[in-house]
Amino acid sequence: MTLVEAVDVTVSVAGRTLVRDAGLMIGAGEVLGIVGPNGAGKSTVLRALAGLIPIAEGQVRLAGRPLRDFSARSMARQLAFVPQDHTLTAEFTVLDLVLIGRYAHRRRWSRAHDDDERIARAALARVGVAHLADRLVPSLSGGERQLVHLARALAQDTPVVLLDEPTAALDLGHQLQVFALLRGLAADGRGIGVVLHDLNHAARFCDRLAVLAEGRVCAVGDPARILTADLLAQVYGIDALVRYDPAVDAPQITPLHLVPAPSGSSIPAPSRYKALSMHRSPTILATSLLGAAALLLTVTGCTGTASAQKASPASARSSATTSYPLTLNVPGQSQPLTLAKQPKRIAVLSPDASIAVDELVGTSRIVAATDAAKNTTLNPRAADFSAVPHTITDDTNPNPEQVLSWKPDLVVVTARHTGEQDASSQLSAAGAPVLSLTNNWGTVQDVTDNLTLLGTALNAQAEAASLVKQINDGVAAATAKTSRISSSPSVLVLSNQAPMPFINASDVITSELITDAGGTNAATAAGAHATMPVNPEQVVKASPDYIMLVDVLGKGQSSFQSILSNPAVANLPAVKDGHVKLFQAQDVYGVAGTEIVTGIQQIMSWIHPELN
Amino acid sequence: MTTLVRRARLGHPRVATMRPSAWVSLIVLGLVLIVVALVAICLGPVLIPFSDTCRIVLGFFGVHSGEASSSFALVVRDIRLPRVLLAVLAGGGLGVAGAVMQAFFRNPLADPGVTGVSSGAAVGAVAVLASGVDVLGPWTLPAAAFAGALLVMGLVQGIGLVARDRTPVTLLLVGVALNAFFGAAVGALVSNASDSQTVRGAVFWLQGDLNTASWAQVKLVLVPVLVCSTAALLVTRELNALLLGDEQAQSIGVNVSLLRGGLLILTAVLVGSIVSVTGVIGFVGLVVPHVVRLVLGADHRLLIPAAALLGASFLTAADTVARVVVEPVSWQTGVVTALAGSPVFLVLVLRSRRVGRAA
Repeated sequence: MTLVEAVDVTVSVAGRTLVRDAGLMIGAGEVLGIVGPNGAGKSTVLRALAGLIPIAEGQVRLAGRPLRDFSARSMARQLAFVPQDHTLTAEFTVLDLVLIGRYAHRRRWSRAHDDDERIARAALARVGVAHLADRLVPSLSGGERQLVHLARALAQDTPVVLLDEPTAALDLGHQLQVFALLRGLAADGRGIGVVLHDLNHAARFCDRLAVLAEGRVCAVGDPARILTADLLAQVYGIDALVRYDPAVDAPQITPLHLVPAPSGSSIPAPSRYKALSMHRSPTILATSLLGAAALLLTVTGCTGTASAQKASPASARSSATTSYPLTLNVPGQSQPLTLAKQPKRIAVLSPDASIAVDELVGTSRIVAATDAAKNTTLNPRAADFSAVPHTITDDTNPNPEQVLSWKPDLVVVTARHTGEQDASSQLSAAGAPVLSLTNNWGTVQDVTDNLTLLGTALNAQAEAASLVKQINDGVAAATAKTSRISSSPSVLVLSNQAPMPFINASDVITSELITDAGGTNAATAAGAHATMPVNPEQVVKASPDYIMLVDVLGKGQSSFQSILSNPAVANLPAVKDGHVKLFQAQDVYGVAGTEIVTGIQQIMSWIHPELN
Repeated sequence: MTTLVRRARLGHPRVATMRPSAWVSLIVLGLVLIVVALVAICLGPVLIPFSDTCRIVLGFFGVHSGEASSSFALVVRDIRLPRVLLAVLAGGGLGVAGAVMQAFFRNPLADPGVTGVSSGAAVGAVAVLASGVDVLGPWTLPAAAFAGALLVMGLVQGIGLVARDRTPVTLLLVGVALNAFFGAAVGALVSNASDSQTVRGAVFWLQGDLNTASWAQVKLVLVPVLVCSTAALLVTRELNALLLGDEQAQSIGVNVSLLRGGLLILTAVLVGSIVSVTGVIGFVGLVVPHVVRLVLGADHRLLIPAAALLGASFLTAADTVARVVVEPVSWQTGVVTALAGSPVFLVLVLRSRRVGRAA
């Protein structure tokens, strides 16, 4: 009775035909050996029979029905497959591994049945490795592992068993053990298909052989009849002695020497290699494409222009004012800054510095500014910057080469982040005059110091002095008012730095604006020592009198909803009493000029309404 | 399950010795999770007496009626409980996702981070953040993260199919390449965002953080994590079979392409929904299944539930450290998982190698 058969099967992988028009059948109670040289398609035929690779033409029939009529599960009850190498390296016990073979016989919800365990143990015993049941699979030798996988296939309890070189890893004793097992399985009435390399074993233990060469079945039948010297010369290219050996009751082959390959016949091995390399190439191609694309993306983040050149030292020609050339000592900078003439092409790499320069001398001399300086939410004078020709998109990480390409005669930067510090030292090294502000505009004193320094550098001392006076007068007026009041309400500052609200610690100028307005920054009480994403519990812990929302993104109060709507926060007196107010970032956050006074006044009229 | 891990008989070398039984392990891990979660609920910037915390928690679960309006009750119920639950769900989900992906890639090094699935989710999320697109309201970000995660898993599978090479190493390398690609894409999106404030927010978000935990977020991840974890528990035998290789799994009766497709969606939903809420929290998906495997073995029937429980405990503990212990220095949850996870991981791996050699 035919259990499984291949009818004119053709298998192609990546456009290459590995097996052509193969016809084979395995009957009940027989062992069919599949033999042939390397690359003849033996394993491919076996996999086609097992339904593991798609078939281009022809058909495989299992128990008289086409394979596509079977589900994976119903097929696994008909046919078991043992591959040549076993990838399992996980720490399973041998018994658990064999139990995996019972998969198709168990329903999803059933426990590991006693029956299953009995069958698994019987399978191990039949293969002769019952003693290994509790061992861990990775601790087995290669031979033991092969036997355990055989036991797993046996536990599957199928009419058809297909094996790919089951004796490849085994010593002679184990080899005989496996063949005895295969004969025993055939005696049960099962059909066995086995790929073998050793022709002598194949001739001795198989009922029939199928000889493959270059993807075609070139002979099928009784080993004694088909294993001839002619066939071996044709298929393997060897001159061999074939004789009947009564000790094993089978033909035995002694290879003598190679015969010259007949002309016109392609050699299978190289074509196999070619097929391999072809089917691998798309992965390699895809991977390298991805690598290239990833590289490209990284590079576009910092597009450089090749035309950059060193900023040339200014000519000795004296300018209109007498204060140049100017040597300026910049706090935190080891070398004094020398300006040959009044700067007319200023690149301002930081938004706060942009605001200050604009207040001092306007924007007509600015050649480049940050996008934040052009953002109306952050800068009340953003309109002034619309005519500035160049934009720095990433103000935490300015690109020195790009800056040089604009040929600035002064670069102003707040060296707050590493990226700005690096850019500043690279620009200095390249010969560009860099005014690097090392204080971070975090206090009113910082702001007035910076304005004075910039005023000197830009020949705008008078403007600087006037601005500093305005600021100091404004602060003094505010503190004069608040000094008469004993109360100092606590104010918690939250800002919407997407996507989560941040708590603003005392390291930003907003904190001093609150102090000058007669309040206290509640960040310290909340346990926040740096500006960072806020945990709602910090707000509860601080329990501030007022909650100040700074709208950095211009998205309004709704962007703070996630924290304000938290019931624990909503229950705070400040929220219940409506002491929550949204402030524009341009008034209270990152301010670097006279907005300081506006900011203080806004906060004061909010937290000290009695002074209005 | 009782026959799952057998105690070894004496005298057999290299057997599964000293492995605790499955139920005992799961009960111990469950108790650990309960203790960790309770400690996490008790700790926070606001000092709340332990007895009050217990009363409030019990009240929340309807056992004891505590004073509902007190501010302590609000802190515990509306800040700590959702945060701890979010950590439990995200940690458990990441543990399951890691275990499933390691079977999917048949490689113990696979996890949502290494294979680019987290990066894919991050690209989706950051694209939404940077562009300000708001199509589905609160679901915009999760949907984009899910789409990104699914895209990466689909690409891995697709490239494997086209190349006709689905060996574990190839799949993992494809994942690594995609991770590099999408990591760069996130970088490009962040550095080209229209304003630098968005950039700073996105950077914080990318490191993983549970500060914004709320009941709404708990609800958002609850269903995906529970459904996907249950689904993973239902296919543990198929995951075991997958360890044998696709061919072997197919030949013992597993519908491998259906399984792989299902796992693809499962991991994408898990990682996408978690990343959209917590940002990219690394290391949980890698370390947790690995530690479980070292102690309890590779059987997914035990590995999946154990990884869920241990992942939940690990992330909850890491988040508690992030918000309490290291004050005044502030660390983010994702930073703590990596800082704590890597040395533990190293010690365990090296110790297991030594034991392996000695045996």
